[in-house]
Amino acid sequence: MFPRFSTNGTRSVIAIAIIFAGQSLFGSTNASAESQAKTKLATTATVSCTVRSMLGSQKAGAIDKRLSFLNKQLSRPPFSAYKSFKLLAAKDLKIAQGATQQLVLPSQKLLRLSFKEKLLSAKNKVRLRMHLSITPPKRKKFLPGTQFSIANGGTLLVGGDKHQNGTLVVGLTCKSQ
Amino acid sequence: MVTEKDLQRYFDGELSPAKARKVYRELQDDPAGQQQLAEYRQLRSSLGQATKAAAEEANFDHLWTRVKANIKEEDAVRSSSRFSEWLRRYGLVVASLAVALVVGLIVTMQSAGPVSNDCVIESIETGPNALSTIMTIEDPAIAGEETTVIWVTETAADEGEP
Repeated sequence: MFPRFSTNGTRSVIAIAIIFAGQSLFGSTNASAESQAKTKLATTATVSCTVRSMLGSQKAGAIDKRLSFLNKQLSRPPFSAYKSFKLLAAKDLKIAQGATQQLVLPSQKLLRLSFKEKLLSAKNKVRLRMHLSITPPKRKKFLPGTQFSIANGGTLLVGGDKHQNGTLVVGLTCKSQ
Repeated sequence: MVTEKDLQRYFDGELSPAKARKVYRELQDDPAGQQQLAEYRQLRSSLGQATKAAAEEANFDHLWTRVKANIKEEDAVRSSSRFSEWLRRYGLVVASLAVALVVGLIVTMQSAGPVSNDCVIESIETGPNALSTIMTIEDPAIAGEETTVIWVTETAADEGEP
Protein backbone atom coordinates (compact mmCIF):
# COMPACT_ATOMS: atom_id res chain seq x y z
CA MET A 1 0.00 0.00 0.00
CA PHE A 2 1.45 3.33 -0.99
CA PRO A 3 1.45 6.02 1.62
CA ARG A 4 -0.46 9.19 0.88
CA PHE A 5 1.47 12.26 -0.08
CA SER A 6 0.69 15.80 0.73
CA THR A 7 1.68 17.54 -2.51
CA ASN A 8 1.87 16.93 -6.22
CA GLY A 9 5.50 18.04 -6.06
CA THR A 10 6.35 15.00 -4.04
CA ARG A 11 4.81 12.76 -6.67
CA SER A 12 6.79 14.56 -9.34
CA VAL A 13 10.05 13.87 -7.51
CA ILE A 14 9.18 10.19 -7.36
CA ALA A 15 8.27 10.12 -11.03
CA ILE A 16 11.54 11.77 -12.01
CA ALA A 17 13.51 9.36 -9.86
CA ILE A 18 11.74 6.36 -11.37
CA ILE A 19 12.22 7.66 -14.92
CA PHE A 20 15.90 8.31 -14.23
CA ALA A 21 16.36 4.83 -12.80
CA GLY A 22 14.53 3.28 -15.71
CA GLN A 23 16.60 5.12 -18.26
CA SER A 24 19.78 4.18 -16.45
CA LEU A 25 18.77 0.55 -16.37
CA PHE A 26 17.26 0.08 -19.76
CA GLY A 27 18.31 3.05 -21.86
CA SER A 28 21.64 1.70 -23.02
CA THR A 29 20.20 -1.75 -23.65
CA ASN A 30 17.55 -0.39 -25.98
CA ALA A 31 20.01 1.86 -27.74
CA SER A 32 22.45 -0.97 -28.30
CA ALA A 33 19.69 -3.18 -29.61
CA GLU A 34 18.73 -0.52 -32.12
CA SER A 35 22.28 0.04 -33.28
CA GLN A 36 23.79 -3.34 -33.74
CA ALA A 37 25.40 -2.17 -36.92
CA LYS A 38 27.70 0.81 -37.03
CA THR A 39 25.71 3.94 -37.52
CA LYS A 40 26.83 7.37 -38.52
CA LEU A 41 25.81 10.10 -36.16
CA ALA A 42 24.52 13.05 -38.10
CA THR A 43 25.83 15.69 -35.77
CA THR A 44 28.30 18.49 -35.99
CA ALA A 45 30.69 16.89 -33.56
CA THR A 46 34.09 17.94 -32.39
CA VAL A 47 36.95 15.81 -31.14
CA SER A 48 39.70 16.71 -28.78
CA CYS A 49 42.98 15.01 -29.66
CA THR A 50 46.24 14.87 -27.78
CA VAL A 51 49.35 14.31 -29.89
CA ARG A 52 52.27 13.01 -27.84
CA SER A 53 55.74 12.87 -29.31
CA MET A 54 57.87 10.28 -27.52
CA LEU A 55 61.48 9.43 -28.06
CA GLY A 56 62.49 5.81 -27.66
CA SER A 57 66.21 5.45 -27.22
CA GLN A 58 68.94 3.08 -26.12
CA LYS A 59 69.95 5.45 -23.35
CA ALA A 60 69.49 3.90 -19.95
CA GLY A 61 66.40 5.12 -18.25
CA ALA A 62 62.78 4.34 -17.85
CA ILE A 63 59.43 5.20 -19.28
CA ASP A 64 58.55 8.82 -18.67
CA LYS A 65 56.06 9.09 -15.81
CA ARG A 66 53.80 11.17 -18.03
CA LEU A 67 53.50 8.11 -20.26
CA SER A 68 52.52 5.76 -17.46
CA PHE A 69 49.18 5.07 -19.12
CA LEU A 70 51.18 3.44 -21.96
CA ASN A 71 53.46 1.40 -19.69
CA LYS A 72 52.09 -1.93 -20.86
CA GLN A 73 52.36 -1.05 -24.54
CA LEU A 74 55.83 0.47 -24.33
CA SER A 75 57.13 -2.59 -22.46
CA ARG A 76 56.26 -4.95 -25.32
CA PRO A 77 57.61 -5.41 -28.85
CA PRO A 78 58.36 -3.46 -30.91
CA PHE A 79 58.91 -0.88 -28.17
CA SER A 80 60.69 -3.26 -25.79
CA ALA A 81 63.78 -2.79 -28.01
CA TYR A 82 64.26 0.62 -26.38
CA LYS A 83 65.64 1.19 -22.90
CA SER A 84 63.89 4.45 -22.23
CA PHE A 85 61.01 6.57 -23.41
CA LYS A 86 60.84 10.29 -22.95
CA LEU A 87 57.91 12.58 -23.69
CA LEU A 88 59.26 15.32 -25.96
CA ALA A 89 56.05 17.21 -26.57
CA ALA A 90 52.31 16.98 -26.08
CA LYS A 91 49.79 19.14 -27.83
CA ASP A 92 46.02 19.25 -27.77
CA LEU A 93 44.07 19.79 -30.96
CA LYS A 94 40.36 20.47 -31.22
CA ILE A 95 39.08 19.35 -34.56
CA ALA A 96 35.59 19.93 -35.87
CA GLN A 97 33.97 17.34 -38.08
CA GLY A 98 35.36 17.63 -41.59
CA ALA A 99 38.22 19.87 -40.49
CA THR A 100 41.98 19.29 -40.32
CA GLN A 101 44.52 20.45 -37.79
CA GLN A 102 48.28 20.22 -38.10
CA LEU A 103 51.41 20.56 -36.05
CA VAL A 104 55.15 20.17 -36.51
CA LEU A 105 56.68 17.17 -34.81
CA PRO A 106 60.09 17.28 -33.09
CA SER A 107 61.48 15.52 -36.19
CA GLN A 108 60.25 18.54 -38.21
CA LYS A 109 57.77 16.35 -40.03
CA LEU A 110 54.28 17.75 -40.40
CA LEU A 111 51.43 15.90 -38.75
CA ARG A 112 47.99 16.54 -40.20
CA LEU A 113 44.95 15.11 -38.50
CA SER A 114 41.39 15.22 -39.82
CA PHE A 115 38.19 14.29 -38.09
CA LYS A 116 35.95 12.52 -40.58
CA GLU A 117 32.97 11.39 -38.57
CA LYS A 118 31.62 9.98 -35.41
CA LEU A 119 30.35 6.40 -35.47
CA LEU A 120 28.13 4.46 -33.16
CA SER A 121 29.10 0.83 -32.83
CA ALA A 122 27.54 -2.12 -31.09
CA LYS A 123 26.80 -1.65 -27.39
CA ASN A 124 26.25 2.04 -28.02
CA LYS A 125 29.97 2.78 -28.04
CA VAL A 126 31.26 5.78 -29.91
CA ARG A 127 34.03 5.40 -32.45
CA LEU A 128 35.84 8.13 -34.34
CA ARG A 129 36.89 7.98 -37.96
CA MET A 130 40.09 9.96 -38.49
CA HIS A 131 42.64 10.59 -41.20
CA LEU A 132 46.32 11.04 -40.39
CA SER A 133 49.37 11.99 -42.38
CA ILE A 134 52.94 12.47 -41.22
CA THR A 135 55.22 13.80 -43.93
CA PRO A 136 58.11 16.12 -44.39
CA PRO A 137 56.79 19.59 -45.29
CA LYS A 138 55.61 19.77 -48.88
CA ARG A 139 56.71 16.21 -49.60
CA LYS A 140 54.73 13.05 -49.92
CA LYS A 141 56.97 10.77 -47.91
CA PHE A 142 56.91 8.62 -44.82
CA LEU A 143 53.20 8.30 -44.11
CA PRO A 144 51.21 10.39 -46.59
CA GLY A 145 47.89 9.13 -45.41
CA THR A 146 46.07 6.59 -43.32
CA GLN A 147 42.44 6.41 -42.40
CA PHE A 148 41.35 4.64 -39.28
CA SER A 149 38.46 4.34 -36.88
CA ILE A 150 39.25 4.17 -33.20
CA ALA A 151 37.34 3.72 -29.99
CA ASN A 152 36.45 6.98 -28.32
CA GLY A 153 39.36 7.91 -26.06
CA GLY A 154 41.59 5.25 -27.57
CA THR A 155 45.23 5.69 -28.52
CA LEU A 156 46.96 4.85 -31.81
CA LEU A 157 50.75 4.64 -31.89
CA VAL A 158 52.83 5.51 -34.95
CA GLY A 159 56.56 4.79 -34.81
CA GLY A 160 59.64 4.43 -36.94
CA ASP A 161 60.70 8.02 -37.53
CA LYS A 162 64.41 8.38 -36.77
CA HIS A 163 65.20 11.23 -34.40
CA GLN A 164 68.10 12.17 -32.06
CA ASN A 165 69.77 8.74 -32.11
CA GLY A 166 66.47 7.18 -31.31
CA THR A 167 63.05 6.66 -32.75
CA LEU A 168 60.15 9.02 -32.56
CA VAL A 169 56.84 7.46 -31.56
CA VAL A 170 53.69 9.50 -31.96
CA GLY A 171 50.70 8.71 -29.79
CA LEU A 172 47.30 9.97 -30.90
CA THR A 173 44.51 9.99 -28.37
CA CYS A 174 41.18 11.34 -29.51
CA LYS A 175 37.99 11.80 -27.58
CA SER A 176 34.61 13.02 -28.69
CA GLN A 177 33.31 16.20 -27.05
CA MET B 1 -29.67 5.69 76.47
CA VAL B 2 -26.67 7.41 74.93
CA THR B 3 -27.47 9.47 71.86
CA GLU B 4 -25.63 8.91 68.58
CA LYS B 5 -24.20 12.39 68.69
CA ASP B 6 -22.86 12.03 72.24
CA LEU B 7 -21.44 8.61 71.40
CA GLN B 8 -19.53 10.00 68.40
CA ARG B 9 -18.20 12.94 70.42
CA TYR B 10 -17.28 10.55 73.25
CA PHE B 11 -15.44 8.34 70.76
CA ASP B 12 -13.66 11.36 69.27
CA GLY B 13 -12.73 12.68 72.77
CA GLU B 14 -14.57 15.91 72.24
CA LEU B 15 -16.66 15.81 75.42
CA SER B 16 -15.82 17.58 78.65
CA PRO B 17 -14.53 15.29 81.42
CA ALA B 18 -17.80 15.57 83.31
CA LYS B 19 -19.88 14.81 80.26
CA ALA B 20 -17.55 11.97 79.27
CA ARG B 21 -17.97 10.37 82.74
CA LYS B 22 -21.72 10.67 82.39
CA VAL B 23 -21.72 9.01 78.95
CA TYR B 24 -19.43 6.28 80.27
CA ARG B 25 -21.85 5.51 83.14
CA GLU B 26 -24.82 5.44 80.77
CA LEU B 27 -22.99 3.07 78.40
CA GLN B 28 -22.71 0.50 81.18
CA ASP B 29 -26.45 -0.07 80.91
CA ASP B 30 -26.66 0.40 77.13
CA PRO B 31 -25.59 -2.71 75.15
CA ALA B 32 -26.55 -1.10 71.86
CA GLY B 33 -24.39 1.89 72.63
CA GLN B 34 -21.53 -0.39 73.59
CA GLN B 35 -21.95 -2.26 70.34
CA GLN B 36 -21.93 1.01 68.41
CA LEU B 37 -18.80 2.16 70.21
CA ALA B 38 -17.09 -1.14 69.47
CA GLU B 39 -17.88 -0.69 65.76
CA TYR B 40 -16.40 2.81 65.82
CA ARG B 41 -13.20 1.46 67.32
CA GLN B 42 -12.95 -1.39 64.83
CA LEU B 43 -13.49 1.01 61.95
CA ARG B 44 -10.76 3.34 63.21
CA SER B 45 -8.42 0.39 63.66
CA SER B 46 -9.05 -0.82 60.12
CA LEU B 47 -8.50 2.64 58.66
CA GLY B 48 -5.31 3.03 60.60
CA GLN B 49 -3.92 -0.28 59.39
CA ALA B 50 -4.83 0.48 55.77
CA THR B 51 -3.16 3.88 55.89
CA LYS B 52 -0.09 2.40 57.48
CA ALA B 53 0.10 -0.36 54.86
CA ALA B 54 -0.30 2.16 52.04
CA ALA B 55 2.42 4.32 53.52
CA GLU B 56 4.69 1.31 53.83
CA GLU B 57 4.05 0.31 50.25
CA ALA B 58 4.71 3.80 48.91
CA ASN B 59 8.40 4.18 47.91
CA PHE B 60 9.50 7.78 47.78
CA ASP B 61 13.14 6.93 47.20
CA HIS B 62 14.45 8.26 43.86
CA LEU B 63 11.01 9.60 43.09
CA TRP B 64 12.40 12.37 40.84
CA THR B 65 14.62 9.88 39.03
CA ARG B 66 11.61 7.80 38.17
CA VAL B 67 9.61 10.87 37.14
CA LYS B 68 12.42 11.93 34.81
CA ALA B 69 12.62 8.42 33.36
CA ASN B 70 8.93 8.55 32.61
CA ILE B 71 9.32 11.95 30.95
CA LYS B 72 12.13 10.58 28.75
CA GLU B 73 10.03 7.61 27.79
CA GLU B 74 7.25 9.94 26.73
CA ASP B 75 9.71 12.04 24.71
CA ALA B 76 11.03 8.91 23.01
CA VAL B 77 7.53 7.87 22.11
CA ARG B 78 6.86 11.36 20.68
CA SER B 79 10.13 11.28 18.64
CA SER B 80 9.31 7.83 17.36
CA SER B 81 5.90 8.96 16.24
CA ARG B 82 7.42 12.03 14.51
CA PHE B 83 9.89 9.78 12.65
CA SER B 84 7.07 7.46 11.65
CA GLU B 85 5.12 10.42 10.31
CA TRP B 86 8.17 11.66 8.35
CA LEU B 87 8.80 8.15 7.02
CA ARG B 88 5.19 7.82 5.97
CA ARG B 89 5.33 11.12 4.08
CA TYR B 90 8.76 11.03 2.48
CA GLY B 91 9.92 7.41 2.79
CA LEU B 92 9.04 6.47 -0.78
CA VAL B 93 10.66 9.62 -2.15
CA VAL B 94 13.90 8.94 -0.32
CA ALA B 95 13.85 5.28 -1.32
CA SER B 96 13.26 6.18 -4.98
CA LEU B 97 16.10 8.69 -5.00
CA ALA B 98 18.39 6.18 -3.33
CA VAL B 99 17.59 3.54 -5.94
CA ALA B 100 18.15 6.06 -8.75
CA LEU B 101 21.47 7.09 -7.22
CA VAL B 102 22.68 3.50 -6.89
CA VAL B 103 21.63 2.61 -10.44
CA GLY B 104 23.27 5.76 -11.77
CA LEU B 105 26.50 4.95 -9.96
CA ILE B 106 26.52 1.41 -11.33
CA VAL B 107 25.95 2.62 -14.89
CA THR B 108 28.61 5.30 -14.49
CA MET B 109 31.10 2.79 -13.12
CA GLN B 110 30.38 0.43 -15.99
CA SER B 111 30.86 3.13 -18.59
CA ALA B 112 34.01 4.39 -16.86
CA GLY B 113 35.84 1.13 -17.30
CA PRO B 114 39.28 0.82 -18.86
CA VAL B 115 39.63 2.89 -22.06
CA SER B 116 39.66 0.75 -25.16
CA ASN B 117 42.33 1.41 -27.78
CA ASP B 118 40.49 -0.67 -30.33
CA CYS B 119 41.48 0.68 -33.74
CA VAL B 120 40.79 -0.41 -37.29
CA ILE B 121 43.18 0.77 -40.01
CA GLU B 122 40.89 1.26 -42.99
CA SER B 123 43.50 2.42 -45.48
CA ILE B 124 47.16 3.26 -45.42
CA GLU B 125 49.50 4.89 -47.88
CA THR B 126 53.23 5.02 -47.38
CA GLY B 127 55.74 7.16 -49.17
CA PRO B 128 58.30 5.91 -51.69
CA ASN B 129 61.09 3.83 -50.17
CA ALA B 130 59.06 3.32 -47.04
CA LEU B 131 57.45 0.24 -45.59
CA SER B 132 54.60 0.34 -43.14
CA THR B 133 53.75 -2.46 -40.77
CA ILE B 134 50.58 -2.64 -38.74
CA MET B 135 51.03 -4.40 -35.43
CA THR B 136 48.88 -4.94 -32.39
CA ILE B 137 49.96 -5.15 -28.78
CA GLU B 138 47.66 -7.27 -26.70
CA ASP B 139 46.76 -6.31 -23.18
CA PRO B 140 46.92 -9.51 -21.12
CA ALA B 141 44.82 -7.92 -18.40
CA ILE B 142 41.81 -7.43 -20.67
CA ALA B 143 40.68 -10.19 -22.99
CA GLY B 144 40.47 -9.02 -26.59
CA GLU B 145 41.94 -5.62 -25.82
CA GLU B 146 44.84 -4.51 -27.99
CA THR B 147 46.60 -1.37 -29.09
CA THR B 148 47.37 -0.77 -32.74
CA VAL B 149 50.81 0.36 -33.85
CA ILE B 150 51.76 1.64 -37.29
CA TRP B 151 55.49 1.22 -37.81
CA VAL B 152 56.98 3.03 -40.79
CA THR B 153 60.47 2.02 -41.91
CA GLU B 154 62.27 4.15 -44.43
CA THR B 155 65.00 2.66 -46.58
CA ALA B 156 68.58 3.92 -46.27
CA ALA B 157 68.22 5.93 -49.49
CA ASP B 158 65.63 8.15 -47.89
CA GLU B 159 67.02 8.42 -44.39
CA GLY B 160 68.54 11.77 -43.64
CA GLU B 161 66.95 13.44 -46.63
CA PRO B 162 65.34 16.77 -45.86
